[in-house]
Amino acid sequence: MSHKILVVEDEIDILEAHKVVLEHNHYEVLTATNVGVARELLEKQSIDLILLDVMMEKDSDGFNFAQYVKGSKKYKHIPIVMATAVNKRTKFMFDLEKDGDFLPVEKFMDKPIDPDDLIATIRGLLK
Amino acid sequence: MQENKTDQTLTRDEKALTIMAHDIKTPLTAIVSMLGVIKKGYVDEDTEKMKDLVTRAIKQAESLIAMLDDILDYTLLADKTKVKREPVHLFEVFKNSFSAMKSYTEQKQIKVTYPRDLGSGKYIHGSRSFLIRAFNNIMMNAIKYNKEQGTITIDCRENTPQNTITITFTDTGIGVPEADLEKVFKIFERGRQARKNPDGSLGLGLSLVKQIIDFHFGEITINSIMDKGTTIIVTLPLFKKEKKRRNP
Repeated sequence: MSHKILVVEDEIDILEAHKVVLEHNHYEVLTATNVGVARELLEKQSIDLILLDVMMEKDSDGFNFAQYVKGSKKYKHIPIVMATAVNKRTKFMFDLEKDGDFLPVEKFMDKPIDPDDLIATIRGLLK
Repeated sequence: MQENKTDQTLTRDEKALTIMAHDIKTPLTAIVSMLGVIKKGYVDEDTEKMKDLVTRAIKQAESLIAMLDDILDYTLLADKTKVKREPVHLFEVFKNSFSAMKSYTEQKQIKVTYPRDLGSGKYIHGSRSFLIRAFNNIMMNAIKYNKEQGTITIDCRENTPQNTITITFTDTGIGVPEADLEKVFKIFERGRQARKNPDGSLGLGLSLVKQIIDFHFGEITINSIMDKGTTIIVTLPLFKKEKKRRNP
């Protein structure tokens, strides 16, 4: 049975790019362009991994959703890959060791995400 | 210790640059993501899926060009001596603008009503292309925030003693909250979603319109009622061709 991945991203073209890559690798993909839809899908479906954009309509949407998932007994086991649009050269780069407490996600990936890296990361997390 | 600036402590220029960089990076990220998928062979060549990704990438690139054009125009208009002024027939401006907006109004089944002789015989001393751009941007907003099958009513009246013309664009859209009314003409004051045009591109919208109207020594105001609609009122000085004087 294929793993089910929820992709939460408000840019529909980036969402489409992720969808193509994931489906090519035989994952089942559910998509949400906002956290409201993402929450609904989370409740209705059995999700194996979440690929989450850090900033959506409101800057805090991605953070809040990650905290919601990890704060819930029901969902906290679901690994989250957080896609950030923060430049690697800036001091705002996320660091799991430092930021993991307030942002409990398994992996940060800088956008644009290399499709090969995305697949390798997801495979590693779904072992 | 390095001081971190928050949104509140950034200067207006820094804030504008940050937003501009984000607005530029977003379509570029989408383009790189989609082309990366093709380059790495995640879609088969000559398939509908591949064509779709290429089409999406081109559209994103075009929106980026449109946004950069807006920024260049905005800065160009900051120096009023750089733009050539000539007599511009308002009728032609409306004709061009309505034609450019046709596909967007049809898509949303929006009815555009205006008098047949709108702007006929009325001239503005200014830039034809910038006036078209201003009216397009006003129309874009009226379309974007309108309801399906809504209407846009355009009218104009001449103010005889002042030698000006007042043009009103009234839509039947969602309206603008009172608290946001003063922000609509300010550059980069709106949220990212609000800066998106009906074609998905990001633009400077009404802030560029204000810059264009200022260039023409005109005035622009906005009235809005939530869930009823918005009216944009533009007043421009009219250009009167001087009649040849007869020798006494």
